[in-house]
Amino acid sequence: MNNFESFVAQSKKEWDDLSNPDIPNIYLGTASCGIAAGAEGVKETILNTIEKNGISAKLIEVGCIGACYLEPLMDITAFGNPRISYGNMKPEMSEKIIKKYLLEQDTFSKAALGQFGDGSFDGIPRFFDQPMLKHQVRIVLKNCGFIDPSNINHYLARDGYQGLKKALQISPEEVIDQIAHAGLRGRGGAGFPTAKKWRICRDTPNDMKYLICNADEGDPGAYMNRLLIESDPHAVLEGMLIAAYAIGASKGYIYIRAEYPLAIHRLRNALAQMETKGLIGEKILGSGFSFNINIKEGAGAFVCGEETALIHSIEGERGMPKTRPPFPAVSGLNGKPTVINNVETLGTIPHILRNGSEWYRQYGVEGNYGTKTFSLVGKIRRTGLIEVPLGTPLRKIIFDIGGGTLKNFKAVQTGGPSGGCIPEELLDTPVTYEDLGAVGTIMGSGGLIVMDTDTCVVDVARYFLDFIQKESCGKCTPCRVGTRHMVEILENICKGFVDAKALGELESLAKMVHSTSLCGLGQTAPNPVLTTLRYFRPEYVQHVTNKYCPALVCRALIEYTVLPEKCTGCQRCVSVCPTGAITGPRSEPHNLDASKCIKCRACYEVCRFDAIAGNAIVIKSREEA
Amino acid sequence: MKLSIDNREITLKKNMTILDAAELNDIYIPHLCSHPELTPYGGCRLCIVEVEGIRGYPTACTTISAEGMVVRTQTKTLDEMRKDILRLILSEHPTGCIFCEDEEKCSDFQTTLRKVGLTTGCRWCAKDKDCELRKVVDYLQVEDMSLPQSYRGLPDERYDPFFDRDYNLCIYCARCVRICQEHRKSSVISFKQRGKLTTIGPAFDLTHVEADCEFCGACVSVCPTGAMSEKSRKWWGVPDQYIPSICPLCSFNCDIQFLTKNGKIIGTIPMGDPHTTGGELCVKGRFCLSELANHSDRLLAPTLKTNEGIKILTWDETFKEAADRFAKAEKNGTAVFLSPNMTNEELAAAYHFSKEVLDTDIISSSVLDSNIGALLSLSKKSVSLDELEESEAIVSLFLNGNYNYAPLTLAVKRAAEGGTPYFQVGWLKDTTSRFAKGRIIPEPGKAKELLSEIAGNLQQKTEGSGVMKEMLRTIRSAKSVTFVMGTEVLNQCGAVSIIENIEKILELSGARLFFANPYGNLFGLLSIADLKTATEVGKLMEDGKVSTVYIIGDSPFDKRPKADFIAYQGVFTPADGLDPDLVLPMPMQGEIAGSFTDLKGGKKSFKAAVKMPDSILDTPEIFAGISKMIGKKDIKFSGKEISNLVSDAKEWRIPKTDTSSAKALDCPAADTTFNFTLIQEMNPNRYHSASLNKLIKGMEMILPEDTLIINPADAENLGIKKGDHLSIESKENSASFPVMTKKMVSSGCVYLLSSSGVLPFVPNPCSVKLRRNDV
Repeated sequence: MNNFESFVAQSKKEWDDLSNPDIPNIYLGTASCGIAAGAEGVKETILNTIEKNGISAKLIEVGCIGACYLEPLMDITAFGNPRISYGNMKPEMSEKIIKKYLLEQDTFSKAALGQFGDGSFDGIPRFFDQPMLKHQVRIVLKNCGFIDPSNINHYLARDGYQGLKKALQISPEEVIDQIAHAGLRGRGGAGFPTAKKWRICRDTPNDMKYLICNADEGDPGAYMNRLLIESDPHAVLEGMLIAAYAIGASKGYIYIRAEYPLAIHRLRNALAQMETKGLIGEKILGSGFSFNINIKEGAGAFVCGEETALIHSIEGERGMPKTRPPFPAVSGLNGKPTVINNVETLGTIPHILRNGSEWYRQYGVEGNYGTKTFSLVGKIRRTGLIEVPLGTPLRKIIFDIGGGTLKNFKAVQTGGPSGGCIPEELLDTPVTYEDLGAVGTIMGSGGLIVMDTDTCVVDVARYFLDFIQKESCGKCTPCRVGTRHMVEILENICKGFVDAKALGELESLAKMVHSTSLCGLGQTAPNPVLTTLRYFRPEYVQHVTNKYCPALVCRALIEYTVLPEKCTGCQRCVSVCPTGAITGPRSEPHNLDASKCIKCRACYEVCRFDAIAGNAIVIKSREEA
Repeated sequence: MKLSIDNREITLKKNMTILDAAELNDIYIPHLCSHPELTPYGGCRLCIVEVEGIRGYPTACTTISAEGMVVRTQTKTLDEMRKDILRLILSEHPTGCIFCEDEEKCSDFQTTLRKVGLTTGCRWCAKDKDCELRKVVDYLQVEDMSLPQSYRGLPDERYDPFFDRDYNLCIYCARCVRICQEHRKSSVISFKQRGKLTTIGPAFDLTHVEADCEFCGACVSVCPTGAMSEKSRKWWGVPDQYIPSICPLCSFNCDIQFLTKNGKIIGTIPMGDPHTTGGELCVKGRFCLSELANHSDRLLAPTLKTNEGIKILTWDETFKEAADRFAKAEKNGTAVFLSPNMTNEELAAAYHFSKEVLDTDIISSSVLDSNIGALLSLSKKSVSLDELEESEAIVSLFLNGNYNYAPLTLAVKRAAEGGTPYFQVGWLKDTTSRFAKGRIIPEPGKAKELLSEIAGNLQQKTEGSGVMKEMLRTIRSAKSVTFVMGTEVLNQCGAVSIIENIEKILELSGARLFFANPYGNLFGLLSIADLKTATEVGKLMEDGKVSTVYIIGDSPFDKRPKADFIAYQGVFTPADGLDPDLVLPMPMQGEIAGSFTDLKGGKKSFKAAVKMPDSILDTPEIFAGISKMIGKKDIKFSGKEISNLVSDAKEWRIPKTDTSSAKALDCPAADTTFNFTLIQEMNPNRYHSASLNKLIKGMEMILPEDTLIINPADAENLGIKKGDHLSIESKENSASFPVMTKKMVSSGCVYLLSSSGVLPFVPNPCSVKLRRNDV
């Protein structure tokens, strides 16, 4: 412990020096969202700028603070000023800001997003007063975007591994009791009480037990686990250590998709650092507890997020689920008791141990304590990774935090392909496991896909079913064949090939697949269809009876036309049309040849976006046209 | 334990699944993926039931029954759901044969000529009339298809030998995948891809040959549909009869069933229910016997070589000709060669005939080379397969279990999977290698040295290093160790010294031995006849002391030896070079009754499955015919006489061998001049005189003769593709062979299965250099 205390003291000093540095610190968000938004280019420019101008400053790469729509984010701490954040960095802009701030001490406040000081500074608002962040409660995401995820000292300085320290001072049963009292439920989506799972495993006698961290995040549009691991890997690892201690596991696996190279890199790096500090391996922190972690890269099969399939995959078999019981907590990996916890569940655990279960219960509502992270995507103004207390109404998440939709709100899909579509009238549903279940969807791992009136729900259901169908492992008949027939019916509806009878067929097939499939993947696969049929039936009916797609999305049911009276002949649509369907000389109304048009929407987007011609290209239903 | 199924009180003695409990009490729950030999799977979902207290619809095959459980298997909801599930399966399975209003009338026409049948009777599915899917459809009375049909359009897979695969008929019950993994422990096939693209087969689209499939045929046996079918009996339909017998193709004499139709052998399968048999057989027992029985190379009439060419004789002419020629020979002037594939009865008759009618003691068999004596005396100690499986440690010595010895390799694999440490000594990998804790690969020609190193370590209580250390520790600590070996060492130079060293190791370690050999009835041969070694007889012929030769089933010569008269009696045409004067046909396994004797002296009897072809006579009848012509009418070959001779047989004995001459052939000093080790083997896969490779295309496809087998990694390094030719050069010899890649050969080794009785390279194993012919 003494060693550990000195590491902590050292780390605290390193951290304090950061907030009050001798030379300026430049922070750059380089999680996957930042990189996708161009952080690599910004990083190069920052380094070049510092070198060329002889500025003495340090670049620190941090993770994602959650405001992904503002990436790349660059923060600067200098001259004793609070840390100032600049969003949507472009290389030129970053150069300009660094030169202005670090050479001329001009904070360039009009470009600043916010600052992390306590009061106001230089007319720059507080970062956390931004609408997206104001309504959040950040527990799991506490360190994300602040610390350097590749530096264990940053984590240690911010109370890292204190939860583990506390856990090791009490008995495993007491750890389980604390988690039970905190009321933590599985954040992977099903909401099974974590402590209950642990207790089953703890109470199953065996000489070998395993703990598996399920980082096989596969829902389309979901990236909570990815960003958490990329931004704060130690939180998850500390959670694993505590969980392993509680259940009596001596070996752990992190099952992570190979498509997450940065997260894997961060984990490997973190594990190596833990070794140097005696935080992993034999006799951790001088206690009698020993634990080792292996990283198992999955080949990207959606079904491998299912516990039994995941275990098969680690065992070297094809990832295919098997019937439960026996549950993994009784007989899992290699037939030994195994607990599988989601990344976020594990990331929450250190905080509960550190601050106590009573503290944790202050967030959320009865039976659904604590917070949940969501990745907010789709037709929403502010996309990103957020964390809210359970029980927060969806409306608050979408409108207050997410800033609402561009066009009129239509629906939100929770729980990825296993979840369902919730319409506007149910937006006051609080996000709890039970309330979401009651409206026909699931909490899921945290993907929130927001749709506006430009989205066709039939098309959405088709998309999700197609995804599930392609990811079906092929083991059980209802999932392998049933979903295929559902996709075919949905495709036919989108093409206007079928009549109202198809809806009945679709519904009964969906119910059959739901009740007879082997694993959760198949059982929940019909959810998108069942919920859209429940809440948006008129839209389905429009498709089958009138062959009309109200959202003007289903290609077979729409046509593109140029309104000659509006067209200015700017030729922009001509240049983007991939098939040469639009022709016409400059400054004269263009002509759209429907036989060549593949309805890719490119012309519509350019015409609308720049508003030069003011929507001269319109989409009409085929019936109208 | 008491539970209720469909309001019936049921008492169970032990834990079992609901499905098993129901079946035990004659309650049928429809199912397709469940299989009595395999672990519960729960894939087809047809066996869903309702259980009070359990949410949803659990599958009977995966749910373990419990005290007081209330199960309902027949409700309206379940029936509807089962029908829907079945419709889903049928929507991907051609249903022309299932929903057809002309079905009943149609079956009347299906017995017409094949060509007509094919066009009018929908006989495109090999499982017609034996289809489990169809039985479930009939049971559930599904009479229509509400869902659109789709045909997967997958190409027929016919490029592998012995069985065809049409995955358009597959219902993904995974029985094949599971039996390959659970029973055979091969895991050659698996599910591939996902969703609607899901199919079954070896990974990375390899062929079964490339994926080292053993062709045990277990997958074909358990397939409920026509997705997998045996090439040789694809269109024969349901067999008329299943007749128990034994396989004569190696010393294990596995229990088999001959499948017969219209008086013909159409296939062989392991004993047991035809649909539930696992992978107990090897490719030879599972697929080769029926091909042999119906082979176009079978001898069907006696022939005589004359000046005008080959002349077909009647049996009377044959007897006369043979009698004339045999009568000319003096006492001990005739050499008789017997085959270790003959039944005890055939052997007894032949021995009786040789002694009494031909008046000769010069009786031998080609398998009796001068080294075999040492091996046979070692094999006297051999334990049973059960004892092998109960050992605490297993070590195999130069054993090549590829496509061979299925009961042995399975026992080793089962034991090793159950935790018994298993080590493999030798150059070749086989199906057991995956389960080995360690492999020791000697340098070329240094088998003797390696074994004496092991013996030395055991004697001096030293440890060695690496795998050797681990193996020695295991041998010392285990209470019972069994060494496993076959006849492979006999191919090696210095075989006698190698065997001596093995004997020493057995003595020092107190270990047991398990001995396998590729001959069906070697011990019957050795117990019925007093034999001389082939080497000795060869010398007598060379010296002109023997000038008449009667070869019965055996194949001692590639070329015609020095002899005045050669009679060849066999199942198949003789080797091209033998050029016999008189050729007599003989029946084969399945056409005759008889018995085989095993190492312990135990006898296994079998009946004839079919009548032998009309033009053929049983072996004793031939001898009787010749005797009569010679004038020795009092010598009888009746059934009773023969069976008396068989039961009079003594314990098996080893022919007198001249070990000094065998020792003289000892290996020269180990030669490691070149970077590859060539391992040669004479083809052990024979039935009587015939090489299975020559007769059966499939055998040649899986492990060809006179082809250089090379490790895929080595092949890639050398830039060799399938079908290329390689020159190999040793210090003394060079030759060119076509190439095939196979993982059974370790990197740095090449393997040659020799069709001839003489290995092309000396010594064996031999250090060689490889060169691509085009370079």
